[in-house]
Amino acid sequence: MKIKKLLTAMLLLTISFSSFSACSNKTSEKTNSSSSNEKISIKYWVPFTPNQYIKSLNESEMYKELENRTNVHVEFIHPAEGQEKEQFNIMINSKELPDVIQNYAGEYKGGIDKAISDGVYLRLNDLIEKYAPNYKKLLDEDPELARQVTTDSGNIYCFALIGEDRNEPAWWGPVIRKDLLDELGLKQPETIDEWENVLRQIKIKKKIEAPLVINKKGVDGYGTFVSAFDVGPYFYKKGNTVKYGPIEPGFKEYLALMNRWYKEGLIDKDFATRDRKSREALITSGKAAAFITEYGMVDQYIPAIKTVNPKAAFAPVLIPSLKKGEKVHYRVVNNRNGGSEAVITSSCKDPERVVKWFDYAYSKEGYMLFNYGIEGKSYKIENGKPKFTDLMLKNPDGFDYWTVVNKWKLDVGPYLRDYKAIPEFTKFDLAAMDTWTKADADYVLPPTTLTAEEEEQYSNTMSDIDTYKDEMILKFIMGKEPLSKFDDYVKQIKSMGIDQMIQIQQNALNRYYNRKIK
Amino acid sequence: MVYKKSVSEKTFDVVNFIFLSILVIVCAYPLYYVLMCSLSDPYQLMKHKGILLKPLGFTLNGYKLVFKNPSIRTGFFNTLFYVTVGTFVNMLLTAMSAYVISRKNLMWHKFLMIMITIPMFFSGGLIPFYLQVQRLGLINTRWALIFPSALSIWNLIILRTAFNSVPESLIESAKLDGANDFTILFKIIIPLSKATLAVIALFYAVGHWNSWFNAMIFLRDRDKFPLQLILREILISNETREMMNNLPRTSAQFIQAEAYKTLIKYCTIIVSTLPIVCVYPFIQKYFVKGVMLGSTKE
Amino acid sequence: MNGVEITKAVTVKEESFSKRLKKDFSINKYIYLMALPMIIYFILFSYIPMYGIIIAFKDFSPRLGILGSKWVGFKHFYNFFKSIYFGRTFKNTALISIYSLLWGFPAPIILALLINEVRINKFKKAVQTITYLPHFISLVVICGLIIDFTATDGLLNVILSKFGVTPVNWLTKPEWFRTIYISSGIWQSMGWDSIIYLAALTNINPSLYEAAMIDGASRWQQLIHITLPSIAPTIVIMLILNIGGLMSVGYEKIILLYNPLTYTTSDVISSYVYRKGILGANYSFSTAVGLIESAIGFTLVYFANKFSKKISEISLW
Repeated sequence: MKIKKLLTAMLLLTISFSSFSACSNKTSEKTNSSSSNEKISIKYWVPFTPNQYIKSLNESEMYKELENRTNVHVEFIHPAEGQEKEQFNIMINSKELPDVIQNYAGEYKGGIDKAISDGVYLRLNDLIEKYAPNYKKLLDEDPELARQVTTDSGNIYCFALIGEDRNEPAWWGPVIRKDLLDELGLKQPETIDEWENVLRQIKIKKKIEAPLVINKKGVDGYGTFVSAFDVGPYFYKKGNTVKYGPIEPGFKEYLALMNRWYKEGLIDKDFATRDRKSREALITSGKAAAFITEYGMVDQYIPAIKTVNPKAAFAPVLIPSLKKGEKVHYRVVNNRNGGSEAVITSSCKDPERVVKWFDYAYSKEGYMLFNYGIEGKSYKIENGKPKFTDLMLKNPDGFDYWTVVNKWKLDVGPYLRDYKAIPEFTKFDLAAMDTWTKADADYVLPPTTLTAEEEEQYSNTMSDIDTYKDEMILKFIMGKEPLSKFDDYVKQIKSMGIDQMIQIQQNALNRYYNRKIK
Repeated sequence: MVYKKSVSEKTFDVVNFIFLSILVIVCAYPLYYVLMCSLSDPYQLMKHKGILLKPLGFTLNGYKLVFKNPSIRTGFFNTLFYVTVGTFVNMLLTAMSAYVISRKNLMWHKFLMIMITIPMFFSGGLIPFYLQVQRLGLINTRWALIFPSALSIWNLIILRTAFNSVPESLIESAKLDGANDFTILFKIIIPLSKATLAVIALFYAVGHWNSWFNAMIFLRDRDKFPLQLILREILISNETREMMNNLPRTSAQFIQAEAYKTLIKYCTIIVSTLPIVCVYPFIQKYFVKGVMLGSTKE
Repeated sequence: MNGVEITKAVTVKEESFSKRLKKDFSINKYIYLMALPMIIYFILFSYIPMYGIIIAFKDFSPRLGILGSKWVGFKHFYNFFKSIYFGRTFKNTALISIYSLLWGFPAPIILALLINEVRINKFKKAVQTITYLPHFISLVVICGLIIDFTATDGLLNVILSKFGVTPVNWLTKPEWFRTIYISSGIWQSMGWDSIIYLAALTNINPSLYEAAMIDGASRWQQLIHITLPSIAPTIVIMLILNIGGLMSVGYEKIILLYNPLTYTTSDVISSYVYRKGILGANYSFSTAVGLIESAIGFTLVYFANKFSKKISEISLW
């Protein structure tokens, strides 16, 4: 009976429901009627986090300004928060499609291509060609971006958030207690050996209980430490060849290292049972010296840890490599398609106007409007550069920037985004970006898609493999299985069908590279 | 009491008292813990681990943030509506149904029982259920939170068990006096089963109070949302933001979103739990012994 | 009173079916009137939507819908049974649910009886009110407390180290998972579950106790001969219903407490399906697994009921 609950949850994750035949008929009768500029109104479904200052995007001054400029009125529909996938599926199901769906469009069971062939989403290739010059230009100039908004069958399906900077910096990597390093007279560790020495000294001389905090699984999802051994944490590519990290020889070396560190007490003993809150408690109570994190989290540990040790300070460090100066090949990457994908549905009566409306966000004026808001109100130009006004930075109602942001500009959404269009980065943030981005990311797989059949096979097989792999990795690290068993472990995973899974990923990667982009 | 306590019984009383006292402490702790967390300074809370006996620092900021949300008030009144009306419908339907299935001499008794038992285990899942509610025109109406959950089989069977314990002789004699089944149910059986009825009402009320899922899928207008749905939004709002956005973020963004996240979580639990917890003492009023006394003429 | 019904049933049997039907309806017309809302409720909200079960035997496709999707027979069941973890998850589910029933079922009854023996009214009410509180605290918080409590530097180890036990992280020990899972479950739900027994206790006729006291029966004897038999129907019915829940262990608490090191005892069917769902949500597959659970539950209830009817004359139907 209890599985019913689970079922419900899963169902909501997966379903998209029948009866699109009715909708698909509509596509043919699509009229290009209003090429004029008369006022139109569209329904726009998008998840949104309300707060005291702005309850829905319908209150957004930026979109009001956009309406003045484009004569397109938008009625925003926001699903109940936290249940967006469920709401998405039910919406699709109930045949009341809005004109635009942003985020979760990829949840359509069977994939985007299926949604297009089912006549639910519109294929945008021709519309963009004709009516979206700014967006088209971006796609033409950046094949990687073009691939990421095109499906395997060559359908351009969305307007997405695009980073203006093609190489946005990394936001995930290792951090260490700088004060401890300084007191011990140690340099920031760069190689695995240096790390070992630093952790050991900290453990012995500073009596730090758990020098290094690692996550529950024993392997960092963005590959910190694993990447030193020339492998990725999961599926990755070397050149154009897909590989599965956990069965590579490099992975064995990684496990041997972790096992050694674990035995020596250099790694948190309880890592396998810690959740995020528990890890944070360890860090902020001064019982840990190094951890892997997103940079945004670090500065807020400061007030907490200062009450324990007033001298405490954190510094970002290089993602470690085996040899000094060697570059690792795996880290977090921001895809060119930065999410916030907005699709146009077959219910849209005037796709031409809507496409034009979207395209405005990628134009020069649109860029300023979405990134900075309305001149004179939310920003002014100083020394030729836009600067936020006090309305944004020191709001008279006492709200902070992140509360007011969506009333005057758009934090994330389908537009050309300048990631620096925020009040400011802290020193730590900038240092972290700089340090972590020094690692290469050429082993990281791009966002590929599996076909429906592949998907089924993949999920059936991988759930077993992952169960086994997760179990064994912890056992190897904690010494409950000797590393001499690694070959048996690889054999077992092979017998469970990993080669076929690698092939599936390889095919998906090949299809990705072969996506038809002009 | 005429009866004298023996030594062993006195020892039992003492041991029982001590045991239950320990139990009380152990059971009171989680809520106490949450309460203390909700009053603590978020930064100190972050580095804390283990037992908490008093708040770390003291702040009401979490509560201020929770109550700043304008939807809390409407949510509270909506919930009040769903709890009262919903429980009333539940009780009426459950009492009548329980009476029906407590009459074992009914020819269709077994058929009805099996009809009731099957849905306990088998259901068609959410999509057909949603479509059915849609077909009945209940989507985005308050009734969508009342009718589809009008009867709980579990509660029905519990109530039936209580009804069965009413002496058959009472019912027979009432029948001889010319009472029909409605009179028997409302004048004899219900007054004699007050305690169980009170418990069932509590179960239903707590169920309505805590439910958010049906509201989420059946309701569209925010002004019809129950409190729990609003509170859920507060709880998870920051997490969704994290999930959706794999972009570079700044510390400032996190300080706002993260530091108070845990605090707000605890405050939300308190706000959503305390009112319903306070209902129980009122239910206890019906836990009076000897309701059968005086009515039994055996 | 059961005797009366049985004889009635026997005499009625001799008449023809349609006659009996007519008679039954005319005698019980008000009862059937009362049954009407319930029947309508079940038809509308349970039986009509029940066709959704068939997707366990289909490959659910959004475009074709539930009725139009392609039949695949027992493919999903086969996929479930052939997984190398089927045996393990099945065994873990069975053991966790059986032990939960074994320890968890009597706990609220004992609590209710203990509360019932308390003579100080205020204390009694306080105990009742407080023991039911943990029911209202979300699982995430409860499990967070459990994780803190069992960690290497947690309270449990602090206490145990006083007795010379070396601190270990209890949640990494597969042999302790069930104990932690079940005992915390009892802690969380005992008070809430005892309410129903407390209500049943109030229905006992006090004159029975008075008579017993005059006969000089001790409290223990009163408990055995009056209290327990009087609440037996409630206990038996609750037991039958709980037996139906065997083989269904929810995933929420499991995934909050387990980790790969304890998979050998902690990974149950629902948590396995959950992990599978994250990878590639397969609605038909999980419906199939749910159907297996339901079928087992229903069968168990059926036999438990039959068995109970034989020995105690208390039954669901």
